[in-house]
Amino acid sequence: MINEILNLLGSVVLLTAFFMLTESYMHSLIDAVAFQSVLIGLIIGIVGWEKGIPELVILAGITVAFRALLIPWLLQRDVRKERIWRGREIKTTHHAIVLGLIVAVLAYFLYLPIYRAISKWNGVIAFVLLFLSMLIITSRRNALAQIVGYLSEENALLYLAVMLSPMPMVLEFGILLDMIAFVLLAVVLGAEKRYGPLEVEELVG
Amino acid sequence: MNPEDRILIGLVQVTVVLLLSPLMVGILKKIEARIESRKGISIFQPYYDLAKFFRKETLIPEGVGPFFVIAPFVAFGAMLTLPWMLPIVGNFPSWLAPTVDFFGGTFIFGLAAMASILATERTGSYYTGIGATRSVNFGAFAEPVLIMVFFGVAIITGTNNPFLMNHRITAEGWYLSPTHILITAAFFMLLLFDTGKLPIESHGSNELGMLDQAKGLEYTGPLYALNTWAGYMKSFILMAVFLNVFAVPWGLATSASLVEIARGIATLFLKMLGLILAFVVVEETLAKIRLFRIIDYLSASFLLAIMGVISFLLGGGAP
Repeated sequence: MINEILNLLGSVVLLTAFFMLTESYMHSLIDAVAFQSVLIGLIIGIVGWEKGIPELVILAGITVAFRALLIPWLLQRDVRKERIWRGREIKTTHHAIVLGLIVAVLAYFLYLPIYRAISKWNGVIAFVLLFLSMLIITSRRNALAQIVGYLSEENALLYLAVMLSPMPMVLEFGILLDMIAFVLLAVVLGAEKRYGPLEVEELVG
Repeated sequence: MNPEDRILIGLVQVTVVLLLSPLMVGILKKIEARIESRKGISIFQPYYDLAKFFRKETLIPEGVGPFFVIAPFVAFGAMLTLPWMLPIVGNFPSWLAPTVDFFGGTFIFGLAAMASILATERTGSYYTGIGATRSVNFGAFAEPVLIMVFFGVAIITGTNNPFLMNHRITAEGWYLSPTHILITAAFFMLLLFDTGKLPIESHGSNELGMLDQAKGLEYTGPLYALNTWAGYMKSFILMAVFLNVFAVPWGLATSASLVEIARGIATLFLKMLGLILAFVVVEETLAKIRLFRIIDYLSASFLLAIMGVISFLLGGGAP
């Protein structure tokens, strides 16, 4: 039963990643990552409850508080205030979906060596999510969307760590990544507000 | 199960599909009208319409060829064949069921669609042409979703049989598995597309919102009635398959006794009402998406279906 619930939550997490890959409005993108963080928090909480590890339950609470409430709230406030984020990225959705599916299948095959080493299928959804988030970061041109992809990648790492390894490492990684995310947020958002949208395309040769 | 019972359940299913399908359309329209603060038509209005069209004369446009007349009969006949091979009232195979599997059912749906598309070819009407080309165009994107859903069914059951799918889901705890839930969601999106519900197709005076509906505009009299009735039956059969194979696979008749059949029909009616309420919620909350976004919609449902199949392989988010 618990197994099925976790599988279902994992599948929905992957669907949110696909949604983020194709969504073009910033505010619903942020809502999506908040929803994904809630799901990740739920998964961590259920695993913690099942294994009887109080740290994991606390970590679930922290995840929900920071990734699902605080960071999305900050970003939403910024989106409402600044006109820069009003624009939408126009792209064809079905292309992004096909690309995402290819990446997902690729990630599945890349997980096979890990499976041979530890003979557990637990981490595979998180592994696929990791690659999908990477695709979000690379395929987007908008800094806010890239930050959302980064948050999703953090979620994937946390998910992977909870599924594969024992406890304390996870907490440290989580805190570390949160710090990095805050620095990124501050720097990138500040720069974009001052200079307008960053011309990432010009970096491509 | 002896052959008489199998023939009996087939006959019951055909009768139910034939007689109840206009009622479901009437109920849907009535509920929508009530929500929009209109009085709405009687729920029996589709029957009155059909009766009226059967009494009217038939006018056939010049130079349409024989296929224009044949097509409604082909479509109607296909819809009379399908209840023999799908679980609509009873959960045991009726007489013709062993002859085809899920794909066979799809081919018969395809036969009806092909007939109605070919019939529009030489009518010379602008709107039928638009309807036919659009439905072919988007049908090409809907078909992979259907096939992927069948792959999901095949993964769960090991066969391609709708009756077995019904048994497997109720008996062996497949109901909550992600494969089943994602496939059900994909099939629901496909159902909205195939039955012409709102995010895809808006009915009414605006011909530009039509896809499938526009194909029948050139028909008059009994031919129009047959065509419309076949459309009602198509929606009814698809909804019954969605309910009995995917969403709510419980409460079907388990034998051909009178009590069981009555119970099966009653539960089917109740489940259908529930599904209609879901349709009403979708239709009243969503606006029609633009024409070229339909492909995005279908690719999203394809994504759900393929995720269902993949999640069977991933099968392990558990500690």
